[in-house]
Amino acid sequence: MNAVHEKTQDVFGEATVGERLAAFLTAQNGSPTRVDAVKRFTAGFSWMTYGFEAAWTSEAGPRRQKLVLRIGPPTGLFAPYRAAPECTVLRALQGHGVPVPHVYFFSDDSAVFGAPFFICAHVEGTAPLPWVAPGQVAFEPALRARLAEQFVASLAALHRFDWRDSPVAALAGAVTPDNAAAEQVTLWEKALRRWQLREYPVVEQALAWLLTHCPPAPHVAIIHGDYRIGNFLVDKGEISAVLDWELVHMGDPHEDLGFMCLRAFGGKAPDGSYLVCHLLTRDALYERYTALSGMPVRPASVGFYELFNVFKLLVIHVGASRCFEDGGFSDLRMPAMGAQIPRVLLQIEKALEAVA
Amino acid sequence: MNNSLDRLLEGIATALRRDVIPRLDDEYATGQALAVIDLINNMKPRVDWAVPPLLARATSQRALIVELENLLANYPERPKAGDDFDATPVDGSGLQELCERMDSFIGATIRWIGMHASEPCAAIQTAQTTISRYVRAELRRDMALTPRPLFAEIARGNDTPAAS
Repeated sequence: MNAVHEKTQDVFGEATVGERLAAFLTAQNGSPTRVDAVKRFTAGFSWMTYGFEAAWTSEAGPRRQKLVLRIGPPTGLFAPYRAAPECTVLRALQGHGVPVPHVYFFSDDSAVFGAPFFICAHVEGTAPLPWVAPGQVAFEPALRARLAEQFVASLAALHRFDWRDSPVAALAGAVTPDNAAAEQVTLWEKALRRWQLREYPVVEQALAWLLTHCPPAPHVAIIHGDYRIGNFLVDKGEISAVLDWELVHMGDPHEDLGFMCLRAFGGKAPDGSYLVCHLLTRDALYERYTALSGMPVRPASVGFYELFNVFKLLVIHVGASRCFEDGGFSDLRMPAMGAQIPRVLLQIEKALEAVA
Repeated sequence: MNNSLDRLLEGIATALRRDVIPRLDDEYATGQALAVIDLINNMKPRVDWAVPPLLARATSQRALIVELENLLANYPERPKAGDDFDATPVDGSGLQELCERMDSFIGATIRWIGMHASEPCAAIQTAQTTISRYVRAELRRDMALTPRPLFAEIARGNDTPAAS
């Protein structure tokens, strides 16, 4: 067995994580803190996610709280990880129309868990998945309408957020409306070249097109980077939290719209019409987003970002294959993702045909 | 497939031994999992990638490369096909490597065409169309070998069919 891998598994086992959590929270609370019910979640292919309960005594008396710990493992898919970008954004967005979990602690120092981490509130709810059995629908109509409105409103609020006077400004770097698209294409092309075990002709065709057709952004906004069904929680018929902010960055708002519109996340309504993220038609998405954000949607830009985002999905699949091949992870979900690369390549070909 | 066969077999055995077996509390299930590891260890020195699909892929790649060489003959600075593209290894792993080398050449040709795409040259336009036709056919061939993913079951951690 790979020694680095074996060590990683021990360090991030539930028992070790529980002990380290108790020590960390005791130091932070200034009061002995007990940690129990530590459970690693199966969902998520990148950051390791654990639910747990912390109990301590504050000035107001005994307290008990459900919390979530996320650790970016050194052998993970997108390693090396940084908690700061995601947590800075999550804290800045509190109270601005985007339902996000409250972040209590975060650090990019590896002293506590051997890797960057953050601890946030546990939010009640379940994450609906994009995969639905043939003939079934993801949501009954009334719930679907409610979630669709909330899902689009949250995205509009995210893209409207005035980040320039917030700590998020430090993450903006040199992104401008003119270079936002090229920055992303170049970033993910570099990741592809770093990870690829072999070349795929259709990917080279897509890259050649993307690099020569970058659209200007209407404005630079905070981009979630993974905004889709599967990455929000639903509780009592409402979206209780938008999750998985690890790909957050600054860019063109059309990027999130293009991601939502990928066929991989959509489904059919009972009347046969196609629903973006199983929630609403593309026309309805454009109409509600424009009304709520004040930004008219440019369909050509959405098309560009649909192709870009399938390319990004491909790079993530390639990264998963590489991660497994190098022996960093023996998580069999990684090569299982890799085995589906032909499906993603077919989506790239279709998206390229749609725009070219 | 995108991982090497050796690493896949080794990774399956490792995951069973380290992540699955310690969580099993049934002796029969544990015995079955150990038997899978034993079988994998026995299969490792004996199995290889299936030859017929790789052979079909190599044949279409060669046909495309010949067509591109003819179309772009007037561009001496174009990427050149490898001398070993005509060799046909008899084993799956050797064929897989050959296909990957030919894919790299096709990729280099696509990037080269990308730099000349704005030129009003019929040969370059035809080369683009030819590559697109090849890509479409190959993707469909590969998809025929790719079963529906079990992502929903994997994400939920149970084997029941996806429900609404």
